[in-house]
Amino acid sequence: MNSQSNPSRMMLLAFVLLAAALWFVDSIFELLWFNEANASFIDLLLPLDRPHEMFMRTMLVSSLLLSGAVFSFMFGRISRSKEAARASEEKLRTLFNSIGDAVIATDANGVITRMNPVAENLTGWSVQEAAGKPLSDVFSIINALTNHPCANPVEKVLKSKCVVGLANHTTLISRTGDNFQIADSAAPVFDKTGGIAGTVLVFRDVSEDYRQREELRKLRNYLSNIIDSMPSILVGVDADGHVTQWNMTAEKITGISAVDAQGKSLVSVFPRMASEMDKIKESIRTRQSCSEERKTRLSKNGTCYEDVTIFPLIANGVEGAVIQIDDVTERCNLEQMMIQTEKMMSVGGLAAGMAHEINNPLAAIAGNSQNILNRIYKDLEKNRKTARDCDVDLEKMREYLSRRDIPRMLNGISESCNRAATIVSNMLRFSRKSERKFGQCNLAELMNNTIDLAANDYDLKREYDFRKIEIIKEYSPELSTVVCEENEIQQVFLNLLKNGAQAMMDKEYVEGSPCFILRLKKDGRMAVIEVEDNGPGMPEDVRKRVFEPFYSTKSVGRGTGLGLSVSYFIITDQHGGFMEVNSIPGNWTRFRIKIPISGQES
Amino acid sequence: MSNLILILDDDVHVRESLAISLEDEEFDVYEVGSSEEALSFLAKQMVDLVVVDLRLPGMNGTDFINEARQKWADLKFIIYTGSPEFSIPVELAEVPCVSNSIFLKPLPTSAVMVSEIRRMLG
Ligand SMILES: Nc1ncnc2c1ncn2[C@@H]1O[C@H](COP(=O)(O)OP(=O)(O)O)[C@@H](O)[C@H]1O
Ligand SMILES: [Mg+2]
Repeated sequence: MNSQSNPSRMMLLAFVLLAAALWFVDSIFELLWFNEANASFIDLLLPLDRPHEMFMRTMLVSSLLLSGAVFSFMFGRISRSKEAARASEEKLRTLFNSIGDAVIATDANGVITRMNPVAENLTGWSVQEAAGKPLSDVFSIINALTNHPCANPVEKVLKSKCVVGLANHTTLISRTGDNFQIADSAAPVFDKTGGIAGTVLVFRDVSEDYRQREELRKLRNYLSNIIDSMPSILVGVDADGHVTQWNMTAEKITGISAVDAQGKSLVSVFPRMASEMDKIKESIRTRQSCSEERKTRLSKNGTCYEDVTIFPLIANGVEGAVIQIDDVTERCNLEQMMIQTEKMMSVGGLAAGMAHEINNPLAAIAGNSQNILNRIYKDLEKNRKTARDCDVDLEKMREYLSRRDIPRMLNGISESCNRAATIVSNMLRFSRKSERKFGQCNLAELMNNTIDLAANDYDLKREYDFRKIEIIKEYSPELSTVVCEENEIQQVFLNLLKNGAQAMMDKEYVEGSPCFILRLKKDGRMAVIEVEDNGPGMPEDVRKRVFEPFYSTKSVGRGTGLGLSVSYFIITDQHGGFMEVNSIPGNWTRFRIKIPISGQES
Repeated sequence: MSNLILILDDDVHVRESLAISLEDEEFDVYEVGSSEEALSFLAKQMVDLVVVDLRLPGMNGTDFINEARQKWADLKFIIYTGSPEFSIPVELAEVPCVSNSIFLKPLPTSAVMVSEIRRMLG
């Protein structure tokens, strides 16, 4: 207040002094020129005895003082109001400068008039430098996604006279080249008449927000990538059984995209879950997970096994469940294969011990039945001589024996004996023998040879004509030679062809005719062999057991039940491969074999 | 003059049936049931060829062949066995007096063995 009142007081004081000085100077004048009475200076200074003089001086001084008072009062007022204006400007600036957001004001032409420190910071321009420049020089913004420059918001405001928000993903490039993610808006400033006086642009550095949002997005992507890359089917449902989550495997298996599945009822997009719905509801209600292993399901590729697990969701108050479905067909098959091999190894061990004991009597039976035939029918001197000695007519005796079917009986003995021998030798294949010869083998050639062999097989010919079967060969040129024991693999092929042919003979074809499809392909380091027939196929319970030793659905004499188990053993145990069978009853049967192309690593 | 053949097998029926087949093919055939018997038989009566079973009580067929071929260099051998796991023993594989074809019981016909015997005896 001191500085404010001083000037007016000083002015008043000046007038007082001036008045006093005038008085004084007047007295001096009097003394020098108008002192007729030779009065003393003291008398002249205060001429109480001269009323006229006194009156004149008093009038002069008082009018001077009066005008001084008026002047100083006016001056005081002016200086006070100036002070107030300065203070309010100061207040405004402080306010402006302490706004947390960046603010830039422009005039009606879009030329910068002021800027707060936050704006200075972000743009990299100081107010002094920026003032008077068009906004676009100082405030350069691009689209964060496309990197294209964005339209100047102030121009838009000036044109539209409305508040304009910045587009999302706006990046501000500062004078020094730093990038900031910014958000916010520009607004018009109106003057009293309603015309545009300028604009004010308010913006905020949202880089941190933006980074966090980006991070969140990445995290979400990462999580959904994890879910997607799971080999299991993962499906989320809400309490009403509507799909909330649908991973890539689910897309692949069902052929329905996640977008399409979203929100639909589970059963409508995944019909085979119909049987699971009760369990899902139950699981959500009890908040207990529930799982079912080895669910069998018939698909167009034959029987599949699935593990189905239902996890209730209890986090965040969200009601629902996640269903996980794993295809464990391969694993089941592998297990079955191991059980099978186990069984066959025990058969093999048994067979090795028994073979000698059985083969000896068989040798005697076979040998002697041949001897009997020889001694009756062979043209031997001894036969004739003995007949003569016994007084028997050899021809007559032969006729008698023939009429009584003796030769047929003997043949029957030989044949049965041979069959027994085959069974024993088949069983022996289950035992590991050391002298097997592995070598490079062309599977296509081997397959073709085996077809010829099957066509000429005596046993087969008796039942049907192999040539009536159409054979489609799909040999991939990619597969050249394979390291294997040729004889054994040929035996496998022969078994499969025989079985297929026998099976197709048992089917009455309404349309089509018996047909084999033989495929040879390469799958990584494995050779794949498929033998498919369009015969009667086999029901599930048969399919499960065909690799068991001695399992056969054929009548005694027609099948031994060893063909497939031997084949299985040869492939899985002797060649380190895989063998499986799939079938649709009434339609087809397909055996698939995989063996390592470069032989079994041992 | 017919060739002399000795059949060494512990199973009498196998021995007999083979003997009959060979007799009918005009060979002179003798039978023994063990390696030891065979060695003492051969000491008295020399033959051209021995048909040997491998799995035998006492001395087995492989040992018998090894011993007999030291004593009688001209003697020939054919292996006839019911135990497929006995493949031709390595030490005999390269020996010219032992037939390379091993005959597995039961033989559907003796003809194959007869022709091998004829081949070996020249
Ligand atoms: N191609 C096929 N089509 C239908 N059934 C088959 C086929 N191959 C095999 N089978 C079934 O598998 C069983 C076992 O076959 P296998 O082990 O070869 O023994 P076998 O042929 O002696 O019966 C057969 O009895 C038959 O029921
Ligand atoms: Mg079969």
